[in-house]
Amino acid sequence: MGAVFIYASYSKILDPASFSENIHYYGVTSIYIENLISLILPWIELFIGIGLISGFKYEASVDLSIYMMILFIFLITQAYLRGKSIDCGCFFSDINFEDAATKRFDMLKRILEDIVFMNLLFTLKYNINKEKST
Amino acid sequence: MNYKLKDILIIISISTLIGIGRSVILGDISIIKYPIKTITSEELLDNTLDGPRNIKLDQCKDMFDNKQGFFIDARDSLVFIEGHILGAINIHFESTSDDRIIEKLDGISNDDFLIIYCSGGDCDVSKELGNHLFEYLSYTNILLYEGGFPEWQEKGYPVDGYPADNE
Repeated sequence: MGAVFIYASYSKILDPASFSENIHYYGVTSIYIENLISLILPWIELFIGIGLISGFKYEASVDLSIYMMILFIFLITQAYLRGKSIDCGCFFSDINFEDAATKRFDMLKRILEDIVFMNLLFTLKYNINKEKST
Repeated sequence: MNYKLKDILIIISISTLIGIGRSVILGDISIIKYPIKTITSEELLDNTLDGPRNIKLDQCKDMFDNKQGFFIDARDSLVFIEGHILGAINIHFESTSDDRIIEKLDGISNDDFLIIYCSGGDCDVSKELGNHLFEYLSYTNILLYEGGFPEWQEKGYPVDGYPADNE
């Protein structure tokens, strides 16, 4: 999971402008907030990834990654339900399928993918709690 | 304070500092984008815009009826052939060189209004083309029609093309 977060952060750190565009199409916040999120969120992903791999601030990284995954699932789902066909901006943000149906199918795949990731993260959380209680 | 919450705040604070600090240090202000304003009726009379503007459907239709500008379809040629706003010129930015763009815009003055559209919604090729025409090819009056072809077609406004047979 750490590698996934680092991988996800890579292109966004290099190209925050494209990531900001991706956020824009979710249509949930103002353009100024989009700028801020595009500058900060990729670094949070990077630190979470490093934390999950190295164990540095491990528990906080697991918790934060769960919160983020819930947020991602919510955002993509609401966009899907509102009939939008967008590039989710999850990994490489310059993917640009012309076909709306392909994009919507891709959104569904991303939702499922994030649910799987969230389950993995909950497993990590469960292990932490288990270790604590023993 | 709960130590876990403290750690979460530390991660967010460091990310904020590095993320914003990096853009400030690199001086990459292109990261920050500003909302594109919608053109006003006064600006439509004044042929000197300081950047691309958005344009709404009713303004678009007025300009179409009054032949006040040129419609540019930024989608790829296959989609264009299937249907486009009547009289639109097809310029797919990603596959068209600057020379070819200038050739396609032959006879159009640099201060004529160019109304650029694509598939509406999240499509951004019209914006990319608009910025390119404004910044590099010196076309000063760029209007971006965000509703795009789907909205125009839905309203039953004049279109041209050869719809694909869906049967």
